[in-house]
Amino acid sequence: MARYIVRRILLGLIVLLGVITITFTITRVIPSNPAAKWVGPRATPEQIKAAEEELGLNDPLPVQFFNYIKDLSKGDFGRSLRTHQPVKDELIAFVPPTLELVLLAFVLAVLIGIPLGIYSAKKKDKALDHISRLFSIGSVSLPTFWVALIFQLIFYRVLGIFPLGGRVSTETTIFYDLPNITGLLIFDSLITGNWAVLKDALWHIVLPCITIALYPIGLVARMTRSALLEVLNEDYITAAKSYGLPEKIVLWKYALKNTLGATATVLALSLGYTLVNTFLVETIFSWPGLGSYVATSVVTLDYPSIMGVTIFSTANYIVLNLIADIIIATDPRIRL
Amino acid sequence: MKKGFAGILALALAIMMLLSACGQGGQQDSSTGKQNGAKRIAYYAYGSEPYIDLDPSVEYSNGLIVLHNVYETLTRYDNKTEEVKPLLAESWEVDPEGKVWLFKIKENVKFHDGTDLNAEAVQKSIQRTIDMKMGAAFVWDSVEEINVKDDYTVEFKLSYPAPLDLIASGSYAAFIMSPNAVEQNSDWFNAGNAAGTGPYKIQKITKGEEVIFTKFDEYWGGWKDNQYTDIIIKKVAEGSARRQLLEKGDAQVATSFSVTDLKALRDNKSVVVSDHETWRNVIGFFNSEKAPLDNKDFRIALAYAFPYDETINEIKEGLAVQSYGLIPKGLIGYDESLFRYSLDMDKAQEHLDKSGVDTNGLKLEMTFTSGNEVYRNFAQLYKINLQKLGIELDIREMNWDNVWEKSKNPKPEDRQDMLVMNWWPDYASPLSWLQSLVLSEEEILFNLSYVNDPALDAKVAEIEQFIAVDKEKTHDLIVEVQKKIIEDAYFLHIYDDMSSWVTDVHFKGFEPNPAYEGVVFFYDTYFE
Repeated sequence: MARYIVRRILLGLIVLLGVITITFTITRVIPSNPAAKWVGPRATPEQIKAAEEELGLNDPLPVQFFNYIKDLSKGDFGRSLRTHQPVKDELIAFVPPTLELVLLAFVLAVLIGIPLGIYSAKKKDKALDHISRLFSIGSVSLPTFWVALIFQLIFYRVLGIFPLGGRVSTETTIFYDLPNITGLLIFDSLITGNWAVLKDALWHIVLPCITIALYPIGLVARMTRSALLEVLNEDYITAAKSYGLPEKIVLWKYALKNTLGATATVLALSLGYTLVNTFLVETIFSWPGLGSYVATSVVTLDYPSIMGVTIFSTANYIVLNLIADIIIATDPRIRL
Repeated sequence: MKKGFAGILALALAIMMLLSACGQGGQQDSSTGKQNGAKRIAYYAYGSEPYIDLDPSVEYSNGLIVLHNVYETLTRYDNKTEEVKPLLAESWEVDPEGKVWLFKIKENVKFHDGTDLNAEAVQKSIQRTIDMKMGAAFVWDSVEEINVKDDYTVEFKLSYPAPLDLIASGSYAAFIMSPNAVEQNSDWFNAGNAAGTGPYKIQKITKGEEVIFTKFDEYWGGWKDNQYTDIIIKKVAEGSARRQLLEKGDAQVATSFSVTDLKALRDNKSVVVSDHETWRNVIGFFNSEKAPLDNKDFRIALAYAFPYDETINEIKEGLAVQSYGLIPKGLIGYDESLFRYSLDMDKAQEHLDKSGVDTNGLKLEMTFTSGNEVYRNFAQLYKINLQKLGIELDIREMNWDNVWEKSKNPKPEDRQDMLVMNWWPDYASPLSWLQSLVLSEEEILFNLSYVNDPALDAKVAEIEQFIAVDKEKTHDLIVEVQKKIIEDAYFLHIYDDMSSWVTDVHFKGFEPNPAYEGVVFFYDTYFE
């Protein structure tokens, strides 16, 4: 097992290096003027020359690449061309809000999706199954931006029970000092015992969180249902049932375990995907996360930021994949 | 089992109710805009990031909406009287050549960090901006040296005449900061530190998201009871969200709405919608170095084929005015007697025939930054009109970098035929259009019609010389330049844009100033 994990980590590092090389090359080959971007929208030739010097853009590309890797190994992602800020600081500012939102959404997805899938499988072709399948298909196929707008309309405009967007109310930002330890506001306010902020943060996260959770809930429910149906037809389940074991134990202990591998893989990969693809939901709910950072970086060809986000999301995929594989590997039938 | 499922649902519902209940509780005891203890809060819902870089020497983007409330400039442009008014400078004088400027600095003004404003602070602030060579620092290009004459007098010596009173009123790069702040690098400012003389101090920032100000008690202008003490400028990217915030009375001021949202908001009695001219105009650039656009009559034919009225009335729904040449209303050189082309296909055909250009199989390429709905729509209409002349218009939407790269190709025939972009001035002066778009360039930058006319260059040089000292002569000269470029049809003068602002009925005193686009000078606003 340990050897397997080490091998996978090494492989992951090679993948990461490959992605860095490709992204670096592509972002530099695309016609753009990084020095002009650094200076501002109306850079004069004189300003551009000074900026090229400052940014080391006069060096040949391989030298620039080598310098980039060297800085990267020290944890320096370079500076954004647009904001002039270290990319590392920007990631530290923008990743936690998204992480908080997405993690909570995935907890929700597991808590709702798996039971939903189980009941659906158990009551196959009954009314509950149809309702739950309809819900799963709906939640996977409804465009999230549409759901987000409808939620705002109903819960803010009509009912007025949830806020329109943001992480906390404007009053809270003025009257309280927001705790910042991990950047995950809910967690931070919980451990510092800042109940007013916690209450406000929870109140704000409900709508965006549910919006994001809808897709994985549907995904998990459908995966669980189909995997479970397959398992339920296996001989050992029939055997267990014929021994007179309670249905609860057969279902939860023997059947469910065998479906977790597939669900874990799907969940882990879609978590990796969601982390950098919450742009629309974040925009609609004014959530200060990674989504809009990614979008602006790409649109403005801010390549230090693009590189930073790419490295972050690649590392995510690698780690999440590894976790999924380890979960699957806990199945004694799988040999490593 | 069924019970378990229902249980989860019930639990989820219960949590939602509880959260909404506690949320509402929080909502009731605090509402923006009204008095809240000692604080009176105004909330500006802004469509984008409130700032990109908080360093006043560097920022050349949205950040003016923040910086103009925290820092002040020597002068401020009044678009109503078309005059420069004193701000941190009490008065100023200039020698007849326009090359030596003396500014008398206001006394008894304090920076947020407690230091006093004096001539040295002014000299250091502007020198820092010039030395950093970032953002709009180029507006000070004419400055040769800045001297402290006495405690409250600064002298600027210029290498060529320039309207320094206007430059000092600039929307960017003209901020005066405390001598302690001058010593700091950009990272210090971007950590949320600031030390200006403005009415508000930065209290809190969230990167890319929001800026919160609180009033500076020792502001030299003093404070009244009904002014706003705390200001929030927050990014609310969705137009519909900004609209809902205003309708609910949560936000006090916002701009950039879709036509649909504006229609609904105009019917709403709790908000006020007002439309204002801006200094942002949309211009089409003809590649005058490439055949057949190097032919003046051909360009005139193209200018007559453009759907001006449809663009303004249908696409912009009346929220724009057709440009009179390059200079928008409120600046020297704006003149309604200038000729405006209008859609006239007969005249277009007439000039096309006169030009002798063979349109058989002629294809023209038009480029602009992708994602602009308005450009896309008028380009489509233009395409239909040009088809009637036998010309095919190839519309290319690209990333700005690619648009610009193509326009700077050393070979004119490899560049686009037409390019559309907007232009706005760096400071309240018509020079920006003339110097950037008309003056011939050795290295292509923004003169994207590639105008290269020594007579025009000489005129622009003359304008530079007279703008600070002789307004009337300057006006006449600018009108002459514009007459010539209109006659030669270097540009499509499409429209001067307008902006619509929506404010809460209780939020008074706000007047948008086109010299500072998007800025709400919160000190001038009050609750009523």
